[in-house]
Amino acid sequence: MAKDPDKLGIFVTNPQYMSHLVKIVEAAQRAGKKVKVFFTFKAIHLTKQPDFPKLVQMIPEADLAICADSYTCEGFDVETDIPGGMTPKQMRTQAYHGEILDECGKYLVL
Amino acid sequence: MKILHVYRNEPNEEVQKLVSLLNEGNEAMEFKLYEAKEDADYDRLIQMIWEADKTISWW
Amino acid sequence: MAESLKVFFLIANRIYISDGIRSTLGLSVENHYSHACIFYNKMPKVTEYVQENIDWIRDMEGDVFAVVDTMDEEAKKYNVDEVGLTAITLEELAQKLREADVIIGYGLPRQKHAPPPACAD
Repeated sequence: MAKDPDKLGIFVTNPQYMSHLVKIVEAAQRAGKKVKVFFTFKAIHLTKQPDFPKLVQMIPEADLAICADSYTCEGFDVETDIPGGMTPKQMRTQAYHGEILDECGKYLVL
Repeated sequence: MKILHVYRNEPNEEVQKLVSLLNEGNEAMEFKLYEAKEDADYDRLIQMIWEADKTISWW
Repeated sequence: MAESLKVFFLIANRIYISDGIRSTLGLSVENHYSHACIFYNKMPKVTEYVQENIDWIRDMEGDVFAVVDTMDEEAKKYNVDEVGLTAITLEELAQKLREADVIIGYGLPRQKHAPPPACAD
């Protein structure tokens, strides 16, 4: 797939930037851009924050995912405890990070 | 090449050294994420990301 | 087939080392030239899983580096001589990063204090 020049990939590795993340996604969308977001390792704890379901609603299903292995390693259950607003399809592997690099013309790490 | 450095925290000595070596021969911009608060700050970040050829976000 | 990119994960925080190596491998298997660069810290205990990941990254034409001039003598010796990470200086790393397509400041910044026994392994 060719890179979409109007799409920002966001690789979220840090568990303390919920407010930055939401504001960056809002700003991208105000500018008419798309985002694709992947949460890995400790950043999956952001799924437990009250703002998380709102973030999920802002982004198409195919463009937001978390690392299922990280979620399990941090003690949560990938089948019975899918984070607020998400679907099982959004519980992914590190290959999703590869998709971000393939698809997104712009890239940011948080 | 135009490089945007995004600082999630105040850059330490090693980050400063890498940034200065990476900037040699390139045009550089920076954005202090740790100081961003207003919507306008994030609008500026988005604008800079699209202006830059490459964005590097430091710890 | 998507383009193979030169990717560098920069890892400053000890808790992020093993996972950063896992994530580095995640891109190796997606056909990128993926590298992990460990700053500051002595590696946590290298399990068989982590060792396999390091070997696999190298098989896929990537590498795992120890940025030696950011480390004290003990960390340097352990990471390079015992674990077998590839020694690199900050300046040499900068030259590699100039050629990189993607540079990832991975996870949290460096911690000021040594780990307590509860998470020292």
